[in-house]
Amino acid sequence: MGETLLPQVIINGVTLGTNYILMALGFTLIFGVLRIVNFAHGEFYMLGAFFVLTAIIKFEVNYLLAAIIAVIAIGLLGYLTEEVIFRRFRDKELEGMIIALGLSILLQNLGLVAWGPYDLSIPPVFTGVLKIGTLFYPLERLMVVLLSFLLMAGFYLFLKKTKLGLAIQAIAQDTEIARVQGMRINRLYPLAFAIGTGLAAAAGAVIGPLFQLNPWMGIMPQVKAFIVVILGGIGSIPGAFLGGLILGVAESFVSTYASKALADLLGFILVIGILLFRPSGLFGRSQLSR
Amino acid sequence: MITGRGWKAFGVYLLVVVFCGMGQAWGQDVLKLGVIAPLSGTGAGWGLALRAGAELASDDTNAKGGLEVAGKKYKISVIPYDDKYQGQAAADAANRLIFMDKVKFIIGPMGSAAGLAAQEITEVNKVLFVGNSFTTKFLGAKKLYSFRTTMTMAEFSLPMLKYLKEKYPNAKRMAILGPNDETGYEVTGFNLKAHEAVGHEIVFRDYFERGTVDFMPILNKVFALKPDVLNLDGSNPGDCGLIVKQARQMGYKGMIIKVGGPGTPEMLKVAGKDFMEGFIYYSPINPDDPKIQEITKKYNAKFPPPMNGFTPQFYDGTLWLFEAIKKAGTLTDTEKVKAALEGLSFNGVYTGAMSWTGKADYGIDHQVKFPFYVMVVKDGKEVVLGKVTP
Amino acid sequence: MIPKTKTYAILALAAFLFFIPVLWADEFYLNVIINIYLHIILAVSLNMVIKTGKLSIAHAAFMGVGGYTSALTVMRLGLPFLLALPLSGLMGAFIALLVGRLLLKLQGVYFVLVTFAFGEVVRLFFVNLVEPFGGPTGIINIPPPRIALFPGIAFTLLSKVSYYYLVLGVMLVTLFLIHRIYQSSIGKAMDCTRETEHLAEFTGIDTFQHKMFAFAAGGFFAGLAGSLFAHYYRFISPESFTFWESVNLIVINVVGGMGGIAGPIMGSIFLVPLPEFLRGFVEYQRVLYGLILILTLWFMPAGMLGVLNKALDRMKAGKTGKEGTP
Repeated sequence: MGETLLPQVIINGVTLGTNYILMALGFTLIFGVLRIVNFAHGEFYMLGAFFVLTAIIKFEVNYLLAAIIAVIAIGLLGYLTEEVIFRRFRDKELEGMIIALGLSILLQNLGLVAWGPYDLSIPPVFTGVLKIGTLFYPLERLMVVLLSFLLMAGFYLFLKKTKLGLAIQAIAQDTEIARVQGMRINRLYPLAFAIGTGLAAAAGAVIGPLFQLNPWMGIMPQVKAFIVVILGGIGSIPGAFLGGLILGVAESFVSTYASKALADLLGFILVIGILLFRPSGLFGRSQLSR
Repeated sequence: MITGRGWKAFGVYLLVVVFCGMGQAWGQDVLKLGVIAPLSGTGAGWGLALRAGAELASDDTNAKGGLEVAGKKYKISVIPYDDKYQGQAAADAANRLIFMDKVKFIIGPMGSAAGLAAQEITEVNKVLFVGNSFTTKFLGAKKLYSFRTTMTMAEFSLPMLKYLKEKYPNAKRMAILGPNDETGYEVTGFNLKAHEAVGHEIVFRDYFERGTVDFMPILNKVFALKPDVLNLDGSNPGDCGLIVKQARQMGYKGMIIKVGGPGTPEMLKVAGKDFMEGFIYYSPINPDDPKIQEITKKYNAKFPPPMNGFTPQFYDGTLWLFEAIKKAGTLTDTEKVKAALEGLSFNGVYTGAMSWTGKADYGIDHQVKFPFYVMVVKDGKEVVLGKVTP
Repeated sequence: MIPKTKTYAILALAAFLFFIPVLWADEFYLNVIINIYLHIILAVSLNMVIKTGKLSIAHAAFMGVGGYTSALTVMRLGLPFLLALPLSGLMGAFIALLVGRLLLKLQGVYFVLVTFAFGEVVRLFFVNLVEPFGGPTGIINIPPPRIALFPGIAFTLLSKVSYYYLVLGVMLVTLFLIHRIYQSSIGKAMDCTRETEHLAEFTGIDTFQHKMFAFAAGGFFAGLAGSLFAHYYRFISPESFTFWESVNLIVINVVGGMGGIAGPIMGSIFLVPLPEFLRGFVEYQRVLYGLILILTLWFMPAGMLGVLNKALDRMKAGKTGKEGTP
C-alpha cells in the first residue's frame, strides 16, 4: 500500500479541508461583516448536529429534511442572538468577543444539561465504501465533500448574485456609506449573523453522522475555523476556501509522515506566524493599523 | 486605583462567603462513602460506571437493613463529587469530602492525575482510597491507604497477550494506538513490554490528542506498515468506536484488539456490528452471566444506559470494602479497616475470586487480581473466547 | 500618599486576614481561601496587562511556566524553595519578555487571538515533552516548601495553616507592588496607553515599553502563583494551565470590574468559591457561570467595582449634598 499512501493522504487532506472550510466561511462572514469574534461559533455547529439528532430520533424525520430544518432553525436562532445579545456591542469588539465567550460557555453547558455527557451518534446515512484501485473512500465522506461544495457554491452565488448578498458585502466594506445609501443595517447585521450560524449548523448537520456528538464537539472545529480564517485572511471568502484546503492537506501530511502531535502544534504555530508576519493572511485586508 | 471602599467591600464579601457555606447535619448511624470520579467531560462514561457501582452496592446493602458493624446497623450514604478527570478538581473534591463531609472511605477515582493529586490529601489523613487510578504510581510501599480494585494493563496485558499468541500464532505485526492523555500514555508502556515479551513485532506506536475525531490520516500511516493486529490500548470507548469504523472503511482486514478498559457496547453503537465483527477485547466479567442481567436492570432503573463493564467491578470493589469494615468492627479506625482489607480475599458477586497482589510490581499488595475473560464480538454479540487467570 | 483613614482600614483588614486561620481552622475553608488568594494574585496581575489595553488569554500559560520551573528546580536541582519561588516569577517574566516583543505589536482582537495560540503552544509543549515535564501525567510528589532561614532553623510547610500564611504573604506583597505601580506615573502612563494610544505617544510616552513592562510583570506574578500552586497541590499537569483557566481569569476581571485592583479581588472572592457552593448541581454550575458573564456585560459593564463605585458615589452625594468625586 506504499504507492497509494500519497494519494490517500491527499484525499484525506481534502476531506479534512472541506470540513474546515464550512466552519471557516461562517466565521469569516461574521467577523468580516460584524467584526465579532464569534467564540460561540462551535456551539452553533454543535446545535446543528443535535437538532438533526433530535429530529431523526424523536420525530423520525428523514435525514436530509432534518438537516435543512436544522440550518433554518439555527439560522433563526442566530438572527435573534445578534439582535438580542450582540446588538449593543456593535462597535465594541472586545466586549463583543467576551460576550461571545460567555455565550459559548452557556450553550455548551445547556447542551450538557439537555443531552448528558455521553457521546451520541446519528444513525449512519450513507454506508458503503468506494474503492478505486487500492484507494478507499467511505461514501459518507464523499457525501460530506459534495454537500459542502454545494453549500459553498450556494453561498458564493448568494453573495455575488443576489441583492441581499451584495448588500452584505457592502456593509462589510464600509458600514457608514452603506447606511447612507439607505441599507437597513438593523436588518442586515442580524441576517449576516444568521447566515454565518446557519453555515455552522450546516457543517454540524453534515459532519455529525460521521463522528460522535457531545456538547463540546464544537471546540475543535472552532479552533480550526480560527486558524483557517487567519490563514486565509479575515473577511475573505476565497481565503477561507484556500486556507481550509491548505490546513487540511498540511495536517494530513504531517500526521501521516511525521506525528500527530506535530500536526496539532502546526495550526497554532501557523497562526502565530501569520499574525506576526502577514496579518492579512493570504487574501485579507491588512489589519495592523487601526 | 484601589479605594477604601474597595477594601470595605472586600471584607464584606469575605464574611458573606464564609458564612454562606456553613452548617452540616450529622446523620445518626450513617456510614458516609465518598466517591470521586469524572462526572462530566471526557471520561464521564467510566466515571459514571464507578459511581453507579458504588451506589448500587450501597443500595443493595441498605436494602438488607444496612451494614452491620460491631453490632449496630449503618445506612450507607454515598457522596459523589466530580473530578472532571483533572488533578486539581480531584484534590479539591478530596478536601471537601475529608474536611467538610468528614468521610473516611473514598471510592475512586479513574484518572491518573486525579488519583495522584487526591492522594496527596488522602494518604496524609489516613483515608482509605479504593479505586482505579490508572497509573502505576498510584500504588506504592509508602502509600498505605490506597488500593486498586480493578486490573490495569500492568496486570492483564501479559496474560492476555500470551493467550492471544497461543491462539493466533501468525499474528505477529502489531500497531498500537493510544490517547495522548495521562491514562493512555502510561498504559501503552505495559502493552509494549507485554508484546515484546510474547514475541510480537511492534511496527507502529503513536498517540493522538484527545478530541480527535478524524483518524484517517494516522490510520493511513499505520496501514502502510501492514500490521496484522491493531491494538487500541487505553483509548476510551467513543474514540475506539470511531477508530474501528474508520479503519474498516479504509479497507483494513486485519485483527483489531483492545488490551485496555471495557466499552464494547458503546463501540458497537458507533461502528456497527459489521465493522466490529471479530473484535477482541478484555472483560473483567462475563456479560452472559445471568447475574449481569440483574445488575444491568438495576443500573438502567437509576442511570442512563448503557452500563459500562466497570460497573459490576466497582460494585464488587465496594462490597469488598464493606466486608473489611465489618470485619474490623469499626467505622472510624482506618488502620484497622486497612489491615482487615489487606487480609481479606473476596468472592465478588460478578467478578471471580479477587485477591491481593502487587508486591513485586508496586512494593505493596494493594492491587487486585482475578480471572478475566478474553472476549470476541460475533454478529454483534459479545462472546467469550477464553478465560484467563493471571 | 494614602490618606490616614484608608491606612487604618487597610491595617485592620490585614490584621483580620492574619487571624482567619485562628478563627476558622477548618481545613476545607482554608483550602477555599487559599484558592481565592492564588486567583487574586493571578487576576490582579492580569488586570495590569489589561490596563495597557491588551487582553491576554495566555496568563495561565505563564502560571504553568512558573509551576513547572518551581517543581523542576526544587526536585531536580535541589534548589531551596525560597529561591525557586522568585525564580519561577523571573522565568514567567523572561518568557513574557521574549514573546512580548513580537506579540504586543498586534492590536485588539488580533492580540487576543495570538495569545490564545501562544497559550496552546505552551500547553502542547508541556503535554508532549515527557522529559522534563512529565508529559500528560505531569509531575507528582512535588515536595512542600522547605524554608531554611539559618542553619538549624528550617521548617516544612506541610499544614494548610502554614501554607495559608505563605500565600497570604505573597498575595499582600503582590497587591502592594501592583498598587504602587498603579499609583505611580507608570500606572498613569498605562491608562493613557490604553485609552488614547496615539495621543500618549505624542506626549512622549513610550507605549510599547509600558506594554512590555505590564506583560512581563504580569508574567512574573503569574509565575509566582504557579510556583505556589505547584507546591500546594504537590502535583501539576498541563490540564491545570489551559485556555479555560485563562478565560476564568478574564471572567474574574470582567465580573469584578477592571477599573482597579478591588475589581479582580471581588471577582475572585465571588467566583472562585462558586463551584464549591454549587456542588450539588454540577451541570448547572457552568450554565450559571456563562450566564453571569453575559449578564455582567449587559447590566454592569464596569463589573462589581463599577456598581460599588456608583453606589458609593450616590451615597456621598446624598451625604454632602454635592457630587462625589470618582
